[in-house]
Amino acid sequence: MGSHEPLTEAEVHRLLRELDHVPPRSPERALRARSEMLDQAHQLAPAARDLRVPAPANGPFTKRKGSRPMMTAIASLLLALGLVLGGGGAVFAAQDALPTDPLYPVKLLTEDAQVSVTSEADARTVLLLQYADRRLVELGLLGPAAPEVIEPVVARFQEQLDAALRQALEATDSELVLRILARIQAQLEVQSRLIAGLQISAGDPMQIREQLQTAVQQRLELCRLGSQNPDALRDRIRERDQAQDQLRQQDLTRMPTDIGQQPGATPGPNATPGSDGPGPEGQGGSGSGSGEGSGSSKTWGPGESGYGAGPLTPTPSATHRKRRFGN
Amino acid sequence: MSSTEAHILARCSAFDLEALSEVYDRFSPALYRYAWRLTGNDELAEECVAETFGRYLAALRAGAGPTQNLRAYLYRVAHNWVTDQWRKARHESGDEELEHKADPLMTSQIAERAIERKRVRRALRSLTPDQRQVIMLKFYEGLDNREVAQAIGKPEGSVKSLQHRALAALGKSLGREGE
Repeated sequence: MGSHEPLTEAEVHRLLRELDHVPPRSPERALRARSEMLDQAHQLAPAARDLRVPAPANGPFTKRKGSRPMMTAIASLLLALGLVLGGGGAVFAAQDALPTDPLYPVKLLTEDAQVSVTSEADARTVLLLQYADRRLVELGLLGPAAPEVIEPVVARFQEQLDAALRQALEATDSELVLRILARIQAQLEVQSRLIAGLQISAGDPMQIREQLQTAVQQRLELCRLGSQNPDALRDRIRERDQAQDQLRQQDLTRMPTDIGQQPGATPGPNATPGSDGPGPEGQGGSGSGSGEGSGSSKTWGPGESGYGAGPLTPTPSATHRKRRFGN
Repeated sequence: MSSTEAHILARCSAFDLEALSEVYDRFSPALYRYAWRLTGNDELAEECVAETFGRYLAALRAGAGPTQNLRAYLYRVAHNWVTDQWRKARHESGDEELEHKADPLMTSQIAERAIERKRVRRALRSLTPDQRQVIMLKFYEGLDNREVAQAIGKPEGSVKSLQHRALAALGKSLGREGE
């Protein structure tokens, strides 16, 4: 039997150093945990937040705001119906769903509803950024999957970032505008770091990471622009909205010809990247619409979330996206 | 307390999500490492971080929560959570790291290190909660005596004696374990 000699202090110190190294924390799990904490905070303190943030008045860039009550009503009705019909469990269970899961559309619907019923611009920003984070988490957790599964996730990520940026324009208080932009910028920087280390098993990981990173960098640039000169950001978005409106008008006038598929028809200006998607503005009730969305055949795909008029930066068309993803 | 920290704490009390995000980003990595060192288990470490912030939010909701030194407060909450888990004898085997990482490719050297870590964890677990907290915060987290005192809710003068007794207890415990 041993003598049970106590170790010297130096030996104890040496052994304590064995615990110096800690394996790196999973970035996906860390991001999810962060998102859940903010969810929890959001749930716990709606009253406090409502008191703190003044309600935005209608401004020159709140043209879509007028339709929000309708979206709110629709979203509330859908949620209420879901709960009445016993869907509460499904809504709860859907929160961890991945894009390949049957409950995933419920998860996205819940997100849209939650955004719609959130009255304050900065609270909506937080939600939208959290939901964009979720897309990254999903890409990290998703096993091998077809491009058709991944594309809408990437597109929705971009769409939610754009929607977050739009919240800055809904604020009339200049301090709030800057706060929202700072919040978005901080989160984009976190996302950029996460994307760099994101383990993706689906599609072509390098291309997906590149596309995500580009999307983040473009929005970061917009944030910086807006932080220095909010009016410049407004102008940029106004120009983009006008271009989108123009394209939509052209689409409408071209529609009969397109349906008839006349031989020899050549792509018009609406064949530019990113222009293949937008549905009619306000389709979702909030002025929203679409973005790049119609490229997806999924019913839960982008363009139906009611987040805004569309992408703030050019995004590849569905066809182009498909090519970039290697198909 | 710096005016910056006071400002952030005030914003957190008002459930300013931006401030809460900032606090989370600043402290959660260290809390995770802290919990992992004690449990050797990434699941439990994540749970500890989530519970720590959950309790912080609950305290804020109740109009409580720290008015200064948030870091010390969060470590205290995390430490209490880990201690509670041990009291409940949850994951009693205590060999989480070895169980989770065991695989045929584990070399004998890696296995040895894992066993050493397990020994240290077990020895830490044998300390009183205050002794353990002093060792964790001083050795791994680099807190000074004042911050450690705040974290354990004891006078600053008691930190040195707790550290001394903790090292002696660890020496005994690890000496025995080494047999």
